[in-house]
Amino acid sequence: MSLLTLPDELIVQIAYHLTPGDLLHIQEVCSRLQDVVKSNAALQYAIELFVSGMIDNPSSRLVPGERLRILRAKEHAWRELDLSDRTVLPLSHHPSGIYDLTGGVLLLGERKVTQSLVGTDNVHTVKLHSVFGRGDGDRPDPNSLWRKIDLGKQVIDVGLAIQEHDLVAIVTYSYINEAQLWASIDVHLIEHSTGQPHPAAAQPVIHFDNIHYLPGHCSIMLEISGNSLCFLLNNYFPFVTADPVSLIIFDWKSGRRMAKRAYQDPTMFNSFVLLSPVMVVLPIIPTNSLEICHLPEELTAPAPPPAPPAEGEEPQAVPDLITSCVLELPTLRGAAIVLRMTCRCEPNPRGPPSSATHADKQIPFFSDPHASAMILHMHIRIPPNHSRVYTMIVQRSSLLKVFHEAVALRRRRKAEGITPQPPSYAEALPSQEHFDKMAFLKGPFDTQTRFRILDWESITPNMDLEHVPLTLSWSDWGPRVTRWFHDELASTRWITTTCGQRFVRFQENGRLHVFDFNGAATRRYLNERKLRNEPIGSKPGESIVEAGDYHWPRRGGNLDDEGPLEVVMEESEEEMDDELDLDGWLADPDAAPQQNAEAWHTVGEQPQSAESSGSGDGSAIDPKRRVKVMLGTTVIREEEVWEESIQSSLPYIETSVRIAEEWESALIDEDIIVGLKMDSNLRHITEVVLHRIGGPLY
Amino acid sequence: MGDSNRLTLVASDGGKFVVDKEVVQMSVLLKNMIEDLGETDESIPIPNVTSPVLTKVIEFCENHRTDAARTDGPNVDGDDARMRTAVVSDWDRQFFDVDQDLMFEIIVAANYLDIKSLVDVGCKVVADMIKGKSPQEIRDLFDIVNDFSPEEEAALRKENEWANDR
Repeated sequence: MSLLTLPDELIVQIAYHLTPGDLLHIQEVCSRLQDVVKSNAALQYAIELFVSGMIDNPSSRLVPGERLRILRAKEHAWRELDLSDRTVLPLSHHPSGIYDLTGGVLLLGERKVTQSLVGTDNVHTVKLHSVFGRGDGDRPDPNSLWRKIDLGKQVIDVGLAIQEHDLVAIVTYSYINEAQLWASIDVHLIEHSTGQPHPAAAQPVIHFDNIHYLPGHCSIMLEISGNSLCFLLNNYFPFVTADPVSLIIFDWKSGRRMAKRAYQDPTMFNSFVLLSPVMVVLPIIPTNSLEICHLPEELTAPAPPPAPPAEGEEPQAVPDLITSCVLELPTLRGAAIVLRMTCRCEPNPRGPPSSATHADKQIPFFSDPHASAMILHMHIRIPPNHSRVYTMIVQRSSLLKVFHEAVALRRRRKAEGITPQPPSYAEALPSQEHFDKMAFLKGPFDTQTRFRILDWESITPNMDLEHVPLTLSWSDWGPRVTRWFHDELASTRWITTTCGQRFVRFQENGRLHVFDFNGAATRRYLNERKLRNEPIGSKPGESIVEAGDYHWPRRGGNLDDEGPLEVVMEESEEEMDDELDLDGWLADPDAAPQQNAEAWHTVGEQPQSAESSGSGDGSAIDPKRRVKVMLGTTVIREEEVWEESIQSSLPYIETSVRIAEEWESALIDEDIIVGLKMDSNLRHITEVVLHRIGGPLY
Repeated sequence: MGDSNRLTLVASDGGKFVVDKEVVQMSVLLKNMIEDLGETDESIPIPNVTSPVLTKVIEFCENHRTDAARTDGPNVDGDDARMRTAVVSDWDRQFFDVDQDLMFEIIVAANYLDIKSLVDVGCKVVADMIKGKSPQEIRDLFDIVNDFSPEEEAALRKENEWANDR
């Protein structure tokens, strides 16, 4: 009796326990194993999910073969950036400034006094897929699309966890003493599907604090993951009594405060990203670094929800978040300072699989929170009066990986009796090659739950982190797992510009750009094209930037002047140069940033793709579509800003198409691109355009 | 005099095993058979399973009789891929520390007898043997002949190139 004498069904059952990397390997062993794996839709779906950076929705009613078909259709449509499936979202109310977009749901606040510039009286939500109807001219009733939640209080922020908990958290203020602007800040936990207080929450309203509140002088960020509700409030009110910056992680089910981080200086940090329900990344502005923090250990284990504190009981002291790892960002020149760092990573990680899932049964899969890209905008001021915005992309999994490696080293050191302050943690980190390969092969792939146990279980045991935090210098962790953009256009008031590993941006020149940072999918796509004898670059509008170092800005326009890192591009044809200029790489060194921004306009108009479409090969490729694959290392060397050059090499594919209408901004969620049209003052949304990528989900 | 709580199983080679009914019922096949037979003193033949294999299967069921309730747990949507538990216990690992021939015999027997927990543990043990290995290492481990032509193999390697190297 041997492996090959087993019936197919048992080989398939064995294969269910393998990672996608292993599945690819056993396909190469022999024809029998290949046939078994290739002919099984569930196994092919598992491979496809992993490569696409998606996770299955166990609540989906579709068979694996159907889910596989839809996933492939979606991935294909994203590569083509096929925008043909378009509709306009009917607006039933006057939108305020508050919005959110996640898990297929768009939330827009309502302002009843339309002349006013501030204030949100209530919120409305809509499931975006429902707007498209079932096709064939079937249009949903505009009045039934929106769901209104009115608490009778002024809303100042929201947080959605609809796919995990059917939860909408709404932050309100109400004045206790209006003359003194003394207000109660509260978080209301609402069940989305009913609009009622959420049944899993012991207290339907969590009181954050009483603060001096003046609209417009306060910023709030709220994210939910598992039982954790992470709430950050920055109060810029002049005479605040409490800490102007306070981040509190609540157990929203019990209402208990699990941990906090507070500062007297309101400019310490103003955003965060959840790495798991018990871990959070804080971009700390004065130290120019990312702090990876976690809850005190006794709170990290998934425990039954504790009883809510009895009425009138003295609240217990809230422990501080523990910083376990500090990831330094590139060193700034003495005079340059960070004004602001904002970060975001969609979607949020989920809690342990035991927590109830409320996932929409019509959605077959979601973006994998673990693989999702975190976007960090750094607003930097360069005296006397310049400012720049840099954008860094890094995957959540990379941050966790760096963290775990550092913790593992500390453990080993401790076991060896070495005091936990090693000179360098770089030695603990795997090589680039190992990193990429293992990241793929180990793909946390659990057929039971499709839930990524890696995040949860590997951080639950004792970590001995009561010591000084681990500090990794930028060069030890950053260059291989990040990509930096020097970009004057990156930051807008709309924050939902990423979902999963995609980042979307609408340029003033009328082009919509989608960046995809999924390395495995990129490599596979390049390989497929190569095998078809039509490598990237062989079709109009396409280009590839091969491995090598690419400098920004190009110095003196003379490539020979460059140091040993410079790679002279052999294929520096017109097309290639234009593509590179598109991003400002190798741009004119004397050009001021404003002129760089203009390059977008001129390049966008260039006729190169149009002329090649005439000589096209008959394929139905949109000649206005442009594709750039970036495999090289970009080197930003700006001595007036940075002490060191910033190298970064996370690969990506950038696809862009022209949009025929006037958008102000583009947003993204799962398989939908949202285009926003604004009035001439850019104050009010006038139209919301939806593009569904890859057709219906069912 | 038959003990109504005990049953006799007869392996393909004639070996006889007297086993608690509760243990036998971990096999869905035998459970159904017993229900069909009603009260009986007759022994039950297991024609596809030899004595050494049946010994191991009974050993497993004896050991797991207490957690039998778990195997009857809710069958979520009938998708067995979701029924898996994450880890193999030390006892189970030890249990499968046998030569490959016997290991696969046990899995096939468990599949025939419809003992979900044993099939599941067995498949996990085999999967753990495969994890992280190259195609050639997998061939060596299970004594599999590479039946691809050199052209086919090259094409396959090219197809999966993106995953293997960087």
